[in-house]
Amino acid sequence: MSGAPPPAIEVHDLTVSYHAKPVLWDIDVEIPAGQLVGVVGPNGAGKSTLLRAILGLVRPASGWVRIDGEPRRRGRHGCGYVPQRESVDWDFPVDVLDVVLMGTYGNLGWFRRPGRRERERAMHALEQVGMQDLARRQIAELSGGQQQRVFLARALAQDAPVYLMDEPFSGVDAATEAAIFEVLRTLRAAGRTVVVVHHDLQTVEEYFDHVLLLNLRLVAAGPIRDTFTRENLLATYGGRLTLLDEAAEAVRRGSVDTTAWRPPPDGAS
Amino acid sequence: MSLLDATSLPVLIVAALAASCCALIGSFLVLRRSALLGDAISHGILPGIVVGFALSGSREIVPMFIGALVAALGTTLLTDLLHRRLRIDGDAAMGVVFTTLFALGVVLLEVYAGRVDLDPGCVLHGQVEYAAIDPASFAILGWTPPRGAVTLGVTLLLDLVFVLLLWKELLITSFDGDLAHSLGIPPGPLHLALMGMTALTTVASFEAVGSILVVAMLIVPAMVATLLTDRLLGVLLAAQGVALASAGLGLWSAQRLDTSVAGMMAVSVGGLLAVAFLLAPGQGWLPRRLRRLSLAIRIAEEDLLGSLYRAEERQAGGGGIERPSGAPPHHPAWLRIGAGLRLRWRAEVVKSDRTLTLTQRGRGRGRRLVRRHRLWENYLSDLLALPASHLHDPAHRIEHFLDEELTRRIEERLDGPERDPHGRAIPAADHEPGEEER
Repeated sequence: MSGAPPPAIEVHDLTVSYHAKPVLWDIDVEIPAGQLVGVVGPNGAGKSTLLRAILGLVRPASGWVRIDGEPRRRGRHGCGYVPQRESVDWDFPVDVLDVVLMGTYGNLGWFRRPGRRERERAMHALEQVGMQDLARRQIAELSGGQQQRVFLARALAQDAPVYLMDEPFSGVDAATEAAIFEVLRTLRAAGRTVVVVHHDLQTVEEYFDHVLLLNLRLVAAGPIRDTFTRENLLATYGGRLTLLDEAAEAVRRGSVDTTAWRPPPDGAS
Repeated sequence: MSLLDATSLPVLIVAALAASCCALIGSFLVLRRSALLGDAISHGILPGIVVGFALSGSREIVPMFIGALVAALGTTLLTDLLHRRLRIDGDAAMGVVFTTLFALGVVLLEVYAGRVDLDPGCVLHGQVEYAAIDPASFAILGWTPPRGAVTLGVTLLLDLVFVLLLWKELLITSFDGDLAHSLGIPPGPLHLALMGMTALTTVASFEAVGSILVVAMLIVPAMVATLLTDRLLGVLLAAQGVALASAGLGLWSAQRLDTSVAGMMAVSVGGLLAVAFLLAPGQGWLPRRLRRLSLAIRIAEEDLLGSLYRAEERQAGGGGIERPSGAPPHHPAWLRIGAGLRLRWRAEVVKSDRTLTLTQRGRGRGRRLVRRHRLWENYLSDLLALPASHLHDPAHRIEHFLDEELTRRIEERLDGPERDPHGRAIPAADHEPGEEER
């Protein structure tokens, strides 16, 4: 290899199947280090599956993943993961600090308990997301936005070079959305790579440097300016976006009686 | 007959140890939402126990444990096989496997019962009653413990070591298996280890409480504990307390009623669960009802204060309208009467000549309520663009729940309006002139 730094994440010919049915086809992509990367695509496009495959939570049918040019590792040298909020039982009898401390477990090794140093790191992570005052709150008492911040703090406490986040902006209030974006920028400033599954097309250009457009296959990947284009979005969202385009256009022309208007039949795009 | 005499004490010790180690391992099963798996393991191991016993010809725990471990693994793997290969729903697969294995165990038990000293009744219901006449072959400080206590004591020690050593691993795999996996803590092996400890605990306990009732001791103490506390350590400790209490209660009531100790232990722990459902602070039925009642009283009080305040407003404006004699009629009569009595007792209203009058304190509370009501009407009108006829009812509901801080922020957001959408003045946050003199 040349002297250039390896990509933060290298995904090579990755195919993932559930019950023998492929849900991701031949994904081949390199994600550059130190960037905020958005993963965008319609529902069921395999965005979460791509994150889970990079983390090693699903076994690919073929292909491999490298982090910083090496096979996957754990803890401080691995990937930080922010799963979807709904993936855990929020009635579980633990408090906020307990959950954030879990981020440090990977660095501790078997049998060792988190000590003062881990506790300080967890508190620092909570401060970064503005939750230090709620450290001893039971997690069921938190609002959705606060729960999302706890997950973010837990990932920060892990102190990983690469972060993978599954819809961290989903269902949070405006204040939490701003706080999360601020944390993402801090991570980028510290040279971390952050890959975020994102569903709000409006904010993609504002939030991210780099984008992966996904719909079962990789449609396009690259810097926002060259990649987040109308043509690529049309290719990613297929007929659905075309239909929406037509509908929007019809409303814009103002020539359509909205009560009589019916969408064109499927496939008419 | 006392619980601490020479025949009862060994029984109590064995029962308490069995309940204690079951509750410890069972807490993790309940927290993982794997209560049914505890049921499956405790039933599915029966054929393993019988075969282990038949092959060794003794009631030593080691061969039975090996048999049970093989059967426990078999239960887990068979369930997994049915679930994945035949696409049978997880719970259904488990139900099929453990009932089949348990039936096989019962058949084997009957087959071997004639040839070896293994009593089916003992296996199913336990025989903790015989603890006193089944001593260990050694003594500690001149006291010979019952044989069952030695086995269970060692098991409890192993369970404790397991939980303390793997505390963080058990915690993270129970709460978030994906995160654990991504951090290099594999949930699969930990799950198997927990199943192994469940099998060991069940084998050690089945002599005391039997293979059917052991599941009550695995699951119910932890369920009671989750009603009482919301911290992991709290759940484990409370489960221990419940387990020990049900052992004591079970033995005591079995002696009174001359019946099975294991059966009464299961009944006792079920009774404790019922008590916790009714009385647990926070989640219990009664505390919830009391909180709802106190809320209803507060709302009726505030409605009465609000209507008196509005009547004063109208009188001051020359309206001369009669004062209400109680809380508004949409509250039930007993609540209206209760609210009126409480307000008079707290000197927020006074009654003279069959009419109610606000005191200074009551007037302040009424004013703040009306202020919240009218600000909220403005908020609905300005920001939600609701028509004037749709403002009163939602404001009437929410006026009881806005605190001062939120009210102040709503006022700020609306740039401090002076009148509500119906044109009535919005009272100020602090004292109005003239309020003190009345």
